[in-house]
Amino acid sequence: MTTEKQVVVESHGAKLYGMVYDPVTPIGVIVFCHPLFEERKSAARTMADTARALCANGFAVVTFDYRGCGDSFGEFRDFSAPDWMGDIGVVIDLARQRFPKGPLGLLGLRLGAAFALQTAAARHDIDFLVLWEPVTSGREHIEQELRKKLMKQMMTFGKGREDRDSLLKTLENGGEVDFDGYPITAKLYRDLGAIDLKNAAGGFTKRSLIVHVTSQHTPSAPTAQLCEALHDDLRLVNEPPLWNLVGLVDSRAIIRETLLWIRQSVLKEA
Amino acid sequence: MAEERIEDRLKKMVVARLFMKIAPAAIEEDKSLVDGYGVDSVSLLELVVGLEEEFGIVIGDDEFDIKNFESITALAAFVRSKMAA
Repeated sequence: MTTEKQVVVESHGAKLYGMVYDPVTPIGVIVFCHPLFEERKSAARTMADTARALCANGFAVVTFDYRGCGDSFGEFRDFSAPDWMGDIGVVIDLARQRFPKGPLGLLGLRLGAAFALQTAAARHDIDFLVLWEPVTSGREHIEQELRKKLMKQMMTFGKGREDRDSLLKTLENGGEVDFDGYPITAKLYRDLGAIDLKNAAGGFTKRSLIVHVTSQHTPSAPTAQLCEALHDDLRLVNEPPLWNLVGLVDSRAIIRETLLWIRQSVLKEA
Repeated sequence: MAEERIEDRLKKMVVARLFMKIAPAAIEEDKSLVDGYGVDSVSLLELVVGLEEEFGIVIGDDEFDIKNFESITALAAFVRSKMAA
């Protein structure tokens, strides 16, 4: 019988809270790398459903919140991307220690996928990656987040009250900008802006899957380029962006595609 | 062959991009996208990206005015003005 237990792990002096999904006789282990900001909340149910589906298929799964996020200790504004990738490293070590047999993979969503790829590229013990709608360019991601902020102002006040240039100037001058209630510090802005997955992809040479969630029937140019750089598989899922939705989300398609690829690519090789 | 109306292209784009469970032709052109079809700030961003890709226009921050995004009719007038500029 599978078990689900809360786990607390120490990362650089702070407690990270997570869950371990244990299938009792695991054939491998997967660490989840959550997205950030409101996307983390919207994706919570899907991530739990996915963990249970993977566990039912024999994989142990370890999920956790980064420092300053979710249930974990710390203030959000005290941390940045390198700290959260450090947390991923700590949880990978824990996962390998608890589940020493079988392939070890990372599954990340949005910025979590970007952190997963960069972490995997810097280590030698990650056997496979599953990247759900990865943020391929941190700079473009920030631009989109700022646009979203202006859209919210438009919905509330009828017009955007700021512009991207002045918000970017605030960040470049060491100030903070609020994204949906999350303080974006100048350091976080710089660290996120440095994300360029196409360049990071060269450091990871094992199996990987990109799941592109889109209304289109062809991949976007950045996703196609990342896929080419990773030399690996791409699946398109024509579903609404689960990380942006409020309320119940139907994530069967993305879970199905992920399980199928793991069976066909990871388990076949193992 | 007659060129497709901007309004009709917009309806198709809105339905596809926002995963609406409605036929494009069923969208009422003057009905509020926000109040009538549940468009929110996140889906408006998807709509802006769609407008830029579909019509080859660039939407500036100073054009984030709800009047431009109120309805299919308003969007069509906005797109026409951008394409004429």
